[in-house]
Amino acid sequence: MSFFANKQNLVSDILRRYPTDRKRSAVMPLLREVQNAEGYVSDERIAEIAGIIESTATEVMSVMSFYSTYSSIPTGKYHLQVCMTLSCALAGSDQLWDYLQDKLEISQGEVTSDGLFSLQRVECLGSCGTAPLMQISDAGYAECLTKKRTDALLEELKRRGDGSIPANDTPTPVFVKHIDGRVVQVTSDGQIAGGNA
Amino acid sequence: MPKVIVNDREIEVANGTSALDALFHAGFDVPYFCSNEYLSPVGACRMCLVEAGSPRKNPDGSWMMDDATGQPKLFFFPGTVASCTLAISEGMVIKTTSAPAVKAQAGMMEFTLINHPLDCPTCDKGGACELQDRAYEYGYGEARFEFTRRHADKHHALSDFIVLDKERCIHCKRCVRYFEEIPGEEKLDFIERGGHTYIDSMESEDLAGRNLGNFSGNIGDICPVGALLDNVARFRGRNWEYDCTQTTAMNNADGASIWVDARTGRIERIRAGSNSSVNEIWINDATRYGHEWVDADSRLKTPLVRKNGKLEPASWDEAVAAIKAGLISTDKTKLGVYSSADITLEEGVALEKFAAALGTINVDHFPRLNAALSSVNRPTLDELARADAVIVIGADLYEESGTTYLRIEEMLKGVVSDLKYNHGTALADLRLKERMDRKRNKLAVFAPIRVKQMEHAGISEVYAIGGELELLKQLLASKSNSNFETTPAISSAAKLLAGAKNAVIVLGSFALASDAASVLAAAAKLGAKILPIPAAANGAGLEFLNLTPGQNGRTYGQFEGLKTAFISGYAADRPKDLEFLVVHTTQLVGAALKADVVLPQASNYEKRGTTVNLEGRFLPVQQAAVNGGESMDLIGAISALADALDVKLEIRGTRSAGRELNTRFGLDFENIPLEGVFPSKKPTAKAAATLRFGGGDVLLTPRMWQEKMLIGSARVRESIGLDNLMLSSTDASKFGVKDGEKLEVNVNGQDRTVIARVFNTASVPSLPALEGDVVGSSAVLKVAMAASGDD
Ligand code: SF4
Ligand code: FES
Ligand code: FES
Repeated sequence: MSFFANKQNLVSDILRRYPTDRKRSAVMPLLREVQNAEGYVSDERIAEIAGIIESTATEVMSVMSFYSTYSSIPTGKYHLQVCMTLSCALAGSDQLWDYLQDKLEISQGEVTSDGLFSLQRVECLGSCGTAPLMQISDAGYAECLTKKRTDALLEELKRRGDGSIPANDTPTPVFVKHIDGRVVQVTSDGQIAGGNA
Repeated sequence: MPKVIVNDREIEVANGTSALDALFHAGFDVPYFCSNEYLSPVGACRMCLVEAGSPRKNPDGSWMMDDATGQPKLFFFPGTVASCTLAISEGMVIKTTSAPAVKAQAGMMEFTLINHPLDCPTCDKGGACELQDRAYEYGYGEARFEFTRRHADKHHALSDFIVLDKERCIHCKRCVRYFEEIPGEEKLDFIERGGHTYIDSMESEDLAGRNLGNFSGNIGDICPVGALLDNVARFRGRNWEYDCTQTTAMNNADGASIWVDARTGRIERIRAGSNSSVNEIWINDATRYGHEWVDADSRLKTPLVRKNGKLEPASWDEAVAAIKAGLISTDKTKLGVYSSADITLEEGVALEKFAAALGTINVDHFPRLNAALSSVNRPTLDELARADAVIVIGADLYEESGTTYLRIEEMLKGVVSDLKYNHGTALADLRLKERMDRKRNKLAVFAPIRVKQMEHAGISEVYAIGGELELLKQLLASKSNSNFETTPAISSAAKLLAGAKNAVIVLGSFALASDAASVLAAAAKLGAKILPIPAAANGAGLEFLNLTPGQNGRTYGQFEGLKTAFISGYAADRPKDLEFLVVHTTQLVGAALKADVVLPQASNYEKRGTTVNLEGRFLPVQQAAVNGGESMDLIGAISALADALDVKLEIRGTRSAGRELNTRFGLDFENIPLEGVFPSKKPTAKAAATLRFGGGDVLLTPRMWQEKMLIGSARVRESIGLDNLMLSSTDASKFGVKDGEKLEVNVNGQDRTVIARVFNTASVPSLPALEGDVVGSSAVLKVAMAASGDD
C-alpha cells in the first residue's frame, strides 16, 4: 500500500520547496512524514520516496540511516533515545542503558510486548550539562536520570500510555563533589549521577 | 604557467592543477587514499595533508609584501590542509615534509588505523595494499589505542562477485563515487555514520539477477584496502606468489588491458590493467571473472583421436599420424581451413600462409562482418570520449563493448581524464565532480529493443528490427532538410549531428550483422566518424589478412560439397557430408564431440602475439604463466597439419609470423607497446559476403558473458542464471507463455532452457545469443513446452 498516493497535495507542497531539477533535496521532509505517521520507515516506503525524488533506494537509505531521528524498524509509543556520548558516558549512561534494558526487558531495536517502549542508543543530545539523559520520542528530554528518577518516569509514562510526557522538571546542571576521596557528579536532587547510584 | 614551490623545488604547473598533483609532479609524495585518477577529488580520507600558503594581492593588483624579507608575504592556511582539493595559485608554497605536515599525516594514519582490524596476514590485499604501504611509510609504527576495536561483519556479500569486509573499510568513498561517476549507475552508498559507517546497496536485482551491474568488479581494484574482495580469487594466493602478466583481453574487441595473475600454472585472478587511451583502468565483469574455464577439469590438454568410434587421448605424434591417414586421399586444394576470429594476427597470418601453401580457397574466419571496418573513418576511443555528439545505432554496448559504453559515459560528463604530469595521469583532477551534470542531449541511442544506455541518452528510440538502413536514410534526409518529416527522435538526432563538429556514430551488432557493407556506406554519408563494433575480438585485425574465401570458396557455415575440414575454435556442429574433420579447441563441446581428431588449443592467456581492437589499435598479447598441458596455439596446430600433409610452411612460430607482419604493417611486432600503436601502413582490407541471417522472429542479443566462460564456473552460471526470453504481451499470448515461466525453446537448431519475461511494450522477442549464433541477427524461435519444475 502506498503511503503518499492519497497525499498528492502534501507531496507537491514539499517538492515545491526545491528546484525542479533538484528533487533529491526533498528526501528529508518526505522521510519525516513517514516517520511521524508510522513510527519507522520500512523498505517499501524507502522505495516509494526514491521513486518520488527520482533517486535510488540506496541513497534514501543512506540519508535515513545517517540520522538517528529516523528508524528503520518499528518503535514503541515511547521511543527512549539514550545519549551515550562523552559527557553522558562519564555521568553513567552505560549504567542507565543497562538499567533500562533490564527493567524493560528489551534491547536496542526491540519493542516491549505492550507496545509502549523501545530503546535506542544515540549520540550527544546537546544537553551535556544535565547528563545522563534521554530523549523520549520527539516529545522532550528526561534529564539527570538517576535510578529513582528513571523508575518514577517509567511509571508515569505507563500510566499515561498515550505518547504524552510529563512536563520537564527543569533540572539544574550537575555539581561535582568529592565523596570518599573520589570526584563524583551529583545531580540537583542530591543523587550521584547515573542510573545505578 | 603559475610557479609553485614544493618544499625546496620550484615547478611550473597549469592553472587548475591540484596541490596534490603539483607536489607529486615536483617529485614528492604524500599518502592518499580517496583520490583516484578517474574519480572526483573529495577530500574524504584526510591523508594528503600538507602545509600550504600563497601570496595575496593588493586591490591595485600588486603583491602584498613582507617588509622583513622584501618578498611577497605568504599567507598560510591555519594548520594543515588536504592537498587533493586545493587548487594551486601563483607563488603557492607547499610543504610536505615540515614537522607539522609530517605529524598531521602520521596522526591521521593513526586515526585511520584505530578501527582497522590489522588482519593483514589473512587479507587478500596484503602485500598490495595502499593502507599497508602508506602505514609503513608514514605511520608511527605503533598503536596507542587501548580500547576494543569496532567489530563488524567480515563477509557481507555485495554481489555474487564482491564480498565486503566491513571492518577493513576506511570510508574513502572510492567505490561509492565509482558507481555514480563511471558507469553512471548509483549502486552503493554509505549507510549509518561515524564509526558505524559501512557501504551497502538496496538496489534490487535486475532480471539477470545481478544487483551491481556489469562493471562491479572494478571496485575491488580501486579499494585502497582489503575491504572489497574478489570472490572468485578469494584466498587463492598471496600477492607475492602470483606471476603477474599484463596483456590485452580477447573476450571482445575492446582491447582492454588486463593483468593475469597466475599461481602454480593456474589463473587465479584477473585485474584491470591501465591503458589511459583505451579502458583507462576499468574492465567489465566477464573480462575479470570469466576465466575459470581455462583451468576447468574439462579443459583439453592432450590431443584426442577417434579409435573404434571413440575419441581417445593421444600424443601429438599419434594425432599427426591419424590426420595423415584421414587426409591421405584428400585433395589439398579442397581442404577447408577455418578459425574463429579471436586469434592473434600472428596466428592469422600463419593460417593465411598455410591456406596459400595448400592452394585452397576454402578459408574463412568467424564470426565476421561482410565489410571491412577500416574502410570507414574511425575515431579513437579518446575521440569518442571528447565527441560533441554520439549517435549509437543498433548496439547494446552495455553487453557488447563495455569500454565503448564507459567512454560514452565519460563523454556525457564532458571531462576526459587527460591531465598528464611527471607522475602520469592527474591524481586529483579538479574538473571532476561528484554528480556532475550529464550532457544527455549529446547522446542519441537507437536499437531494435530497449538497451541500457537509453537510460542516459537524451534522445532514444526503438526501431523496427532490420530498420537500420531506413533509419540512416532518414537521419541523412533530416540532417540536410530540417523540415523533413520523420520521428521526433530521428529529427533531434539529425539536428544534433548537424550542429556537431566532432560527431561519432557507433554501429553495433544489430546494425551490422546482416549487411554491414550497406550500413557502413549509408552511415559514411552522414559526415561523422564511425565506430563499428567488430563481430569478434580481432575482427578489426584479421580483415587485413587473406582469410576470406576465394571465389566459389566455402564461407564458414556454408560447407556444401566440402569433404574435409580443419576448424579452430568453437563450432556448434559437425558440417554435414564431411568425411574427415579436425577440430582445434579448448573444450570437448559442439563439433569437437563429433570430430575425427581433436587438437588441444592454447587459450588467449597462453600465447604471445598481437591483436587489433575496435579502433584499429594494435595491442600486444602476452603469455601468462598458465599450464595448458600439451595445448598449442593455432601456429602449432597448423604445423601439425602441415606435417601430416607434407606441406612446407614459411611460418613455424610467432617470431617468423611477426617478421611477415613487419613487412606488411611497418611495425616491430616483437615490441608493440602496452598502450598499443597505430601502424604506419595498412594493407587493403579484405571483405567477403557472409552467410545471410534474419527473417526469424527472435532477435539474438549480445551477452557480455560468453558461453564458454560458464564452463567450470558454477558461480558465474548461478549469477547470470537462465537466459531471459523477453516478449511483448502480444507475442507471449501468441506463443502461449506466461511471465516467469521456464521454457524449452529451440533457436537456430539449439535447444535451450530460458525464462519468459513478458512486458507491456511492443517490442520484438529477444534472447541472448550463444556461441555459434550470429549476434544481432534474428532467428526462428520454436517454443517446445513449459519445462517442469519452478526453480
Ligand atoms: S570499501 Fe574500500 S573503496 Fe569503498 S569506501 Fe571502504 S575502503 Fe573505500
Ligand atoms: S554527551 Fe549526552 S547530551 Fe552531550
Ligand atoms: S583527502 Fe583523501 S586524498 Fe586528499
